[in-house]
Amino acid sequence: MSPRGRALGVLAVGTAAAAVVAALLIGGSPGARSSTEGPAPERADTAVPLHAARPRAPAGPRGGSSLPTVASINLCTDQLVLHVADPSQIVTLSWLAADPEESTLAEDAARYPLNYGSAEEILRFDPDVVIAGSYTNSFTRALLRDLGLTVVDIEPASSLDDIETHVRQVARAIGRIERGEELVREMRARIARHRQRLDSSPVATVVVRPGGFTVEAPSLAHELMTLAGLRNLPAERGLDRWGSLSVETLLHHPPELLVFATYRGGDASLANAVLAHPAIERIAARAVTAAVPASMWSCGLPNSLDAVARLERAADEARRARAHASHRSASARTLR
Amino acid sequence: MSGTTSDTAGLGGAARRFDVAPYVLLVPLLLVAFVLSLWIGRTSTGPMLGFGDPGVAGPVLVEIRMPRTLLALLVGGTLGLAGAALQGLLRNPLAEPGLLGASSGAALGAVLVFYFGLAAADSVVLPLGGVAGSVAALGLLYGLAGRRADLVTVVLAGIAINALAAALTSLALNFAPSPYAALEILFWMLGSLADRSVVHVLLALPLMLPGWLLIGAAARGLDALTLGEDAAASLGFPPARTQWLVIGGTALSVGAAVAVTGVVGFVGLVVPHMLRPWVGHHPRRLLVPCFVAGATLTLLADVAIRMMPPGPELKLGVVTALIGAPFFLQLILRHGREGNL
Amino acid sequence: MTLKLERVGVRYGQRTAVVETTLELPAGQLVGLVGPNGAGKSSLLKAVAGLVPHAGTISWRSVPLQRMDRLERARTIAYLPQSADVHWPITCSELVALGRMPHLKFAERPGPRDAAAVAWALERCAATALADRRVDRLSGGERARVLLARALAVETPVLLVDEPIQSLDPRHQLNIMRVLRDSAERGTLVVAVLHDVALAARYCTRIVLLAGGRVVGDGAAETVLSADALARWYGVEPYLARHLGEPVVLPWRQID
Repeated sequence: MSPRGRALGVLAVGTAAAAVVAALLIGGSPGARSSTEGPAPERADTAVPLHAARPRAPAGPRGGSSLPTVASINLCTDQLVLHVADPSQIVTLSWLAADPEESTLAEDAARYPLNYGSAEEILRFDPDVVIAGSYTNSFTRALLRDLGLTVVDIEPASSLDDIETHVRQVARAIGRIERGEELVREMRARIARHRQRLDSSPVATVVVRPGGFTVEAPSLAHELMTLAGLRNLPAERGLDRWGSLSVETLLHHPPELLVFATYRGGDASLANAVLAHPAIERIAARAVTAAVPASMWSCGLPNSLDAVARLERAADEARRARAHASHRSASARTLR
Repeated sequence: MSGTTSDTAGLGGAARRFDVAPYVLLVPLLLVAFVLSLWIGRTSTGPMLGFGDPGVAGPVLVEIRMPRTLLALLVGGTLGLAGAALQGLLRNPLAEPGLLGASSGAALGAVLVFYFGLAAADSVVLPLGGVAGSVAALGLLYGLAGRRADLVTVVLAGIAINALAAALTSLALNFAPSPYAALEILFWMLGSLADRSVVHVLLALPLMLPGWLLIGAAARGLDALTLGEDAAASLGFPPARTQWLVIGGTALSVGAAVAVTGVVGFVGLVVPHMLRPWVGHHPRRLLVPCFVAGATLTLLADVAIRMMPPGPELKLGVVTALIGAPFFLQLILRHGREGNL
Repeated sequence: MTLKLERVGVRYGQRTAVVETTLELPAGQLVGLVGPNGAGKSSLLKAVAGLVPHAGTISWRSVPLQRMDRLERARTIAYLPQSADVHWPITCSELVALGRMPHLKFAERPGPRDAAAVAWALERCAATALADRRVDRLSGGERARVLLARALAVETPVLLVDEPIQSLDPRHQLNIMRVLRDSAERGTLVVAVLHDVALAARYCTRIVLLAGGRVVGDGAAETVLSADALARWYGVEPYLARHLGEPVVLPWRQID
């Protein structure tokens, strides 16, 4: 019996290992996630709510104000809502929105009641619409739907177009379509102005994020960089997903501009300690450096373009340094 | 201690009388914990007693608090029961589903199923994935530790399996579709009952129930194992049969539990120890009281979470670890001093 | 009422522990299974107990043991293993009560009949005073008595014991052998694997001598445990005598 038991144990391990490999092969492709579809005005409910919790009107006006009330339970959607909604509509935002390290609109957000993302809390706020991220706790979102609430899932933005789509999505969900179009027009105008400034010599740049990560392509941050006239060096080298920075590569191909995406710089953390790597400090000594807070460009928002402005200024400085350096080497040659 | 006497006339009567005694205390405690769990909620401003605004009281009770409470009961009971059964099977008091890899195997199975698109959060495939992972882990344990499992071999095998499951889970995280997905997995694995709905109760129960029954069928065999494997076999309870029943029952019930709540550890370890001074050492007598006490402990831990000051909710797995780990350390120290447990 | 072994053989992989053996053991005897180390005594006993697979048939009162369901078999044959394992610190009466398990159905509680059997078993082993004491706090001799009481409590017609007196002091050794002999006299078939030829010679009503997996002697102690047999199978020269009407067989000197 014992040898049989051992054989079964080996079989179990083999099965488990095969299952893991199969799962990785199946799931390795990004499209495998079944739970999220492309941007849609309202997420289609695949499950019928178990109980009609109480009679609810479809998302629409409530007595008093003519606009639906909205709750947000995700940092990025909090800020989207702050951009798009009329202040009278907002019943609650997540607590992260009021944290200046996380949010670009922390002061505004602090004026509203804050939530910690649980279904019971949100139910008590009695919103007409709930805006959530597509990676917000799936149990919470499912339970809110079971309770009869309308929940709109917003994907993380991976491009400038996504920002437009999301702004329109939120606008449609909360009855502020015109405001949404206004924001889109403003964004397009700003983008056009930035594009006009682009010249033919983009600045070779490396962005360093806490934990030793950098910006991969395609991504929103990558598009912002391109719009600011920067060449994303690590992306050109073909990084894997999530983008880990290879310091060695940096040493071989030093950038002209080093951008630090700062996050909680005041707190001690391993992620920030990585940034103090001697090699990085060495490169920083030779390149032009700039700091752009992570909160500015981690969510896809209309004001993510503020990051572009900062990057442009840094790019300008890098170009001046470049010109200065080539001028010096030219004059050194003529001296001989 | 155990209350059985050598009085010939009294043996039967004492046994019958005694079996009721632990429940006199345990069942009311469970009821109190159950009611507290229904009564106490949590809002942005901290804990809330009662149901608040009558307009939402119905859904809050029926859709939010009742499923959570039921799940705490079922999952806590399962963990207590499985802990008692595994300690009886392995004849040592340091066994519990988490230490042996059943929980981390189940977590791995559920993670793979959920995050690689094989199931949505409310699909029946999710608890099946948990069960599959749990079966694989326990099968591996059985294969590694063999039948003549002594304390050291079993614990070492469990450590190895936990390490393997953790490594495979990290590998899965590495391949997750995005950093957000990875974060979601990590938080899920810490173990939580928050925002579970009645769907999760209905998903887990059909797998838990047969698991409990399998463990119950092993009950007498566990008692027989007190005398060692050969004597147990000669009494009509072949150890192999008992082993498969316990391992299968644990894999099913713990697998399903972990698949809906993530990894909640230490309940299965702590509860039998708390009850042994009262209920005695017979594994069979411990099974149902451990179910009840496990349910109570989990309910109270979950209520404690809701009583915390305002802020994001603490994870249940963290709370049970905070209770259980010092308890475990204390057990080991006592083992070192006395040489037995 | 006889225990019949027909061509019973035990193999562990390639190694043959017991060569096909045929024996008839009637009830009411204390049968000593003796022989040098590795002779196959424990293997043969375990085969009868159903703990190892074996060739051939073993039957009790003409019913093959394999045809009985496991609880029925447990009520027919009780087995006391060599290792004195008790894994939980329970009381002695609880321990002995475990012997009643083959008589109880799934959720059945022990009744007065079971209580009586437990008490009787404790008394037979002179362990009544130990009833409420914890097993892990007993001395070796006390523990041996209590474990034997557990085996007696099953009230089976056949009792198998594997080296019951190892590591006991002389007083307890005599005590245990006395209990076994009494059980045999009351009608139980007791088969005991013994290393101690002296005690086997005195107490057993029949000796089966095994060597190399075969039965090389079967009968009364004086016949089987002769000087020749001991020289040939044990490689020792014995001191043989009679004392107070009982045989004395003492291994005295190694034979080279």
